[in-house]
Amino acid sequence: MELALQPGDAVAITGPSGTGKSTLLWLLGGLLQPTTGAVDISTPNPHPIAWVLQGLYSLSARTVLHNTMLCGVIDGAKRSSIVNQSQLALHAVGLSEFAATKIRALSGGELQRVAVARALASGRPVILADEPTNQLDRTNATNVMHLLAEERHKGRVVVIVTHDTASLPAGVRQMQLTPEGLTC
Amino acid sequence: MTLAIVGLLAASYTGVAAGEYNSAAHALNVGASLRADGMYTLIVEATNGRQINADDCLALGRSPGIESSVALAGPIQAHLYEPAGPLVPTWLATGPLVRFAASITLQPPPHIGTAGAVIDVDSTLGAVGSHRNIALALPNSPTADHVDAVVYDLAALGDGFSGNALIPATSGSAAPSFCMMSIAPDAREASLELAQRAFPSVGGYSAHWALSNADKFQSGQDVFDDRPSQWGWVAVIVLMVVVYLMYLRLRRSDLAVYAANGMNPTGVTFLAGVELAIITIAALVVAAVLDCALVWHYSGEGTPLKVGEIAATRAALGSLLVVPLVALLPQPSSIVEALKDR
Repeated sequence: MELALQPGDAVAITGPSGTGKSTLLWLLGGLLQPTTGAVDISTPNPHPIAWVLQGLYSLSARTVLHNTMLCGVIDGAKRSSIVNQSQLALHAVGLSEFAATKIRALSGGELQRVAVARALASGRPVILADEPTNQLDRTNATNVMHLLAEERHKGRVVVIVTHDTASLPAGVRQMQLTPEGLTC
Repeated sequence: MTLAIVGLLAASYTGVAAGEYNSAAHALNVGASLRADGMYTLIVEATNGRQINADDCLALGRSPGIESSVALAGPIQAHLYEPAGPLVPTWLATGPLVRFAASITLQPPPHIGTAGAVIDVDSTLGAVGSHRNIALALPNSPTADHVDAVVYDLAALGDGFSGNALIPATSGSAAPSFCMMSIAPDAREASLELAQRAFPSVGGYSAHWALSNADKFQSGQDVFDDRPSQWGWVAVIVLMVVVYLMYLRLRRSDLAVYAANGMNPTGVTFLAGVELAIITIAALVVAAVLDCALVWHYSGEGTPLKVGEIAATRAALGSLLVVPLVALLPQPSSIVEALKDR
């Protein structure tokens, strides 16, 4: 398959379970290395990828705010800027009152929104989201999909792997992954 | 979890120090017990009617490795308190008998202005108390002379000295038949050779240790040198490596979160190393406090406290040194696998 994305693109990859949607996302983000072919991300940013992973991976002993700030901390951004961006992102996903809460105290849906907030706050040029709404109610799912899709207007590339096509806002290009390949 | 690891590490460091303190105290006890049993008391005995030259005996006492010596004649039966008082077996000693008795029992010699007597703890007088003024009447003496007396355990002189008294020889006393020497623990063989040269067996002398079969016993120093606790710090470092690896195993998914979000492998390694170092240092602080309690406990027993401190320091430094090695161990090849390892 061949997939070329430009800044401002938002793509939703759908398809039956087991076809390798998550694997494709990990390959795009460099968490897995392709045995053949190549993934080329052309950006001066040394850390271009912001993840919203399906497994709710967070730093269990840290607070919600610290987890949201993680990418900015790794990127070496100014602390006040990171805090500001993180608080805005938490507000956007409806978790601003949980900023000082330890991550282990959150539910699965809240953890998922923390991961979305981390991606939003990161400012990185590529957001890769793997089933970002699978533990959310309809309202929150729609809000999260909207927030992710809106990031394309900031020149970011957004790739969402999802079964939840009903929550996808207009303007997000849908592609289906089948054993034969990626089709529009 | 982290607190439990800190507690385990602190207990390990303290255990190493305690083991060493305990071993040192045990070795000291063994050494003191062997000394009290006569392991370091060398006896030269004149046989076949020969006599001991007291000057030669005292000269041996000034040789390297020999702490003190006296020449003994007797025993005679001296009366306690008065010429008709109860009898006590008494040896006439030529030489510094109080200092000699103190050296074989490791007790400090008292300050006695005049020549004093030494009473065994098992004698009638010994049970009364130490360092007192007593009256002893020698045979054929019309009066009892008062002397300062100290009570020591004379078991180190051999079984036959139980209940005996040692008093200074006077001019015209019977000729000595024994030369008793107190030997430094590390000079037993050399002192025995020296004594055998001064009083050769072909001349009718017999040199032997007061403790029968003394050579089959391990000295206090040997007990200390062979102590298993001296390797405790190595065991602690091995334990540290295992604990560190367990900790990193538990932290694997968190470290993978950092890696997935862009932290490079060097940064992840540094982060892991810093976490381990902080845990180790926290454990060291706790262990230092516990060690102070140990030092306080053992300080009154004459234990060489440095052994525990050295062991604990070795364990601590070793633990810190292995931190970067453990942190540098290969990271999981797959971040995805590490992330899922929760």
